[in-house]
Amino acid sequence: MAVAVRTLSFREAINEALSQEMERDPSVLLMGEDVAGGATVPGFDQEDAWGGVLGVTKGLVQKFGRDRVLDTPISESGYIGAAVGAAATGLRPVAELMFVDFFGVCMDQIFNQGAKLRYMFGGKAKVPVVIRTMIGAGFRAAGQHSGCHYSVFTHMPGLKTVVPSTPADAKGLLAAAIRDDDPVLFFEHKLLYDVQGEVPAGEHLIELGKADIKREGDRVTVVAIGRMVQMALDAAESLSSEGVSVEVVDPRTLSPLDEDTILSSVRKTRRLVVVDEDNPRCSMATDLVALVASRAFDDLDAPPQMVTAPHTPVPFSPIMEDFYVPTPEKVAEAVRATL
Amino acid sequence: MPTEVRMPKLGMAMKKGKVKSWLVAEGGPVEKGAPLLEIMTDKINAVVEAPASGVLGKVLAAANSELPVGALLGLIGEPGEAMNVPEGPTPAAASETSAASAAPVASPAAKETAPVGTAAGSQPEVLASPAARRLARDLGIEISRVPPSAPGKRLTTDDVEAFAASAPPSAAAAQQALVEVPAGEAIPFEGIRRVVAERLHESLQTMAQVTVSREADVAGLVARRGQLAPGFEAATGLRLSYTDLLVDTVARLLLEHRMLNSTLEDECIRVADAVHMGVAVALEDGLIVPVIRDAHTKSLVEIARDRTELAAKAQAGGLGLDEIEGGTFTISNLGAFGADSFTPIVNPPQCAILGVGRIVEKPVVVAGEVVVQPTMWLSLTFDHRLVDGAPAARFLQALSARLAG
Repeated sequence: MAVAVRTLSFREAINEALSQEMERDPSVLLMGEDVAGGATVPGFDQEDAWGGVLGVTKGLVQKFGRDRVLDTPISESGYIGAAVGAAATGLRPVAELMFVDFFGVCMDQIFNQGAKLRYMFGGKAKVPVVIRTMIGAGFRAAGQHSGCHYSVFTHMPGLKTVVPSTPADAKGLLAAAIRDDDPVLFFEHKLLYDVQGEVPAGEHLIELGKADIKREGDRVTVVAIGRMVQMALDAAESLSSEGVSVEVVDPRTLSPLDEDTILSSVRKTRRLVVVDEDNPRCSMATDLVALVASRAFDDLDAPPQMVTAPHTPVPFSPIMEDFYVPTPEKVAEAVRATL
Repeated sequence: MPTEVRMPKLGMAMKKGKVKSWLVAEGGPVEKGAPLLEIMTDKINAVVEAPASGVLGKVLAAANSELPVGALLGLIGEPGEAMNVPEGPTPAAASETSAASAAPVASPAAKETAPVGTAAGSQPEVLASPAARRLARDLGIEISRVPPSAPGKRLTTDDVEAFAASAPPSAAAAQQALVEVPAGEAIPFEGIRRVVAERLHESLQTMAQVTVSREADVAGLVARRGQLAPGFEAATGLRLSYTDLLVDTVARLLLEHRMLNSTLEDECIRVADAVHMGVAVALEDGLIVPVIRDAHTKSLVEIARDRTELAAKAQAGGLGLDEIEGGTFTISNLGAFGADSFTPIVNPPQCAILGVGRIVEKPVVVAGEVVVQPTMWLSLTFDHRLVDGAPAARFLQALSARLAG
């Protein structure tokens, strides 16, 4: 029987994954700042709740009640720590760190507790927590609400990191993340929330650690992360009119990383361009280039290229913010540099 | 201060040369004027003499590297003297854009740290991608032979694939590619053999060549040689050959058939004022065509002397570039080897070549009587783009008349 497929927004796809997993497993619960919304506002308790600052969890508090959709105090260290503890003791919490830029105030809970417990207790404890967090520039939200920073978390052993680029991937990867027994950081780009795409209606799972080839080509491999996949696809489209066939590889999960798909694509095209909105030092971009340089050196016909944000915080000036984010033109330029 | 050894310019048209081999090892003693290294151009091999005495302190151009005229090849100095490679581009590099890509000489800094004694045998440095290097290795192609798609551009697998498709497989690749290699000697396809091959192939690819032939009565030619030879040889010590007589006759006849003494240039047909006659000389490993300059004005003695000297130099491998350039017409005589007739290939950029066979006495019908006559086949190959069949045949007709009477 064919799977029913509808067009949903990225936001709706995430909401559907949360809803279906909460229905399937009563141990799944949501917590975060305003994930229900309006709970403590006098006279507002009968109104429709906000469902998070950008409405991703809208409707879930009505469906599952305030015992499973928990508004927390503005204390990331407190509620992220509570989520890690709840996971270690048998629940499957999905905590929302509103903007990834706030990780500094709760890093001990993520890095020193959540990421290490299973390892330090010899596998006797598991920490099936998901931390959803918003990333990305282009929202005119200035330096403290616009970073990507998934490279920081990918660096840390014990954490899994997921950066979806399409509504269908967001649904399938989030469902898989919730069912995973390790802490998963799930990065949602703010500018993708309104992007529409076909999404399977029922249970939809995408195995963590499997890259997806978003466009096939044979001349240059472009590995792009999150929203940058769209930049790469736009560049590939314009380059095809120049006769350059670009393969766009979306790793989807950064840890674990699907090295085989990336390497086999590069072995085919002999050229690599990485597109990453994160800052360039000690980043996924450098890591992917290092992977290819060390494992596929003899397959390369050109030095690998990186298209990344500069090594600065995200600027507030709209002109400078637009300059900060990689564009299809910059990707195309990097592709041409490999030819 | 070390003395620089640079790529010499051996002829007006020479732009680059290839280091064939160093005759002195790095660090070895050299004497001013003594042979130092052998170089190859696309026309000849030549020995470069040491410009100073001392030791060959540094070799900067490995064997097989191809470099522009003026490129620094090595340094001669006192024993123990520091061999600092001069800063800045070489004169050639400064004036020729292709020098940067063609020069396999390492950067000064890199060469300074290279261990002494390795340069002569090491590979020239080539800008190539790792994948291109691996593919070349797998195909048995020497990466330094692969031309880049643009000057200074890194070689890619595309370049190696294109080269592999265009170039005949090397002996090494043939060994690898075939499951069973037929027994036999593998002669490297290089040097003069390769030059001959490329010239002749280019000739047939670019011209519309037609050969007209006729059997000529050469009673006059034979009589003339019989008459002149004894006195000639006694007076000059030179043997008077049929080729000398043919050069003499053909050179003067060409003044009346000037289109056959012409060259096709980009926008015009250049009709030569003078006849510079090329005479094909067979070598053990190839073929070379030294040129007798102004053959149309030279006496038979001068022609015979020039031809004898040039042929001896050709056999010894000592022809200068100016002795093989600038020919306007060529004669190829295979009569001495017993050939009757053949279709010679035009020597570019000339327009025509005359092939002559052996002289044979035959019964010929003359005015109803069978008489015995010496005959010779004449074959004129010409470029039909410049000359048509009738004028070419008329030239053979006129030549036959002169050789008969």
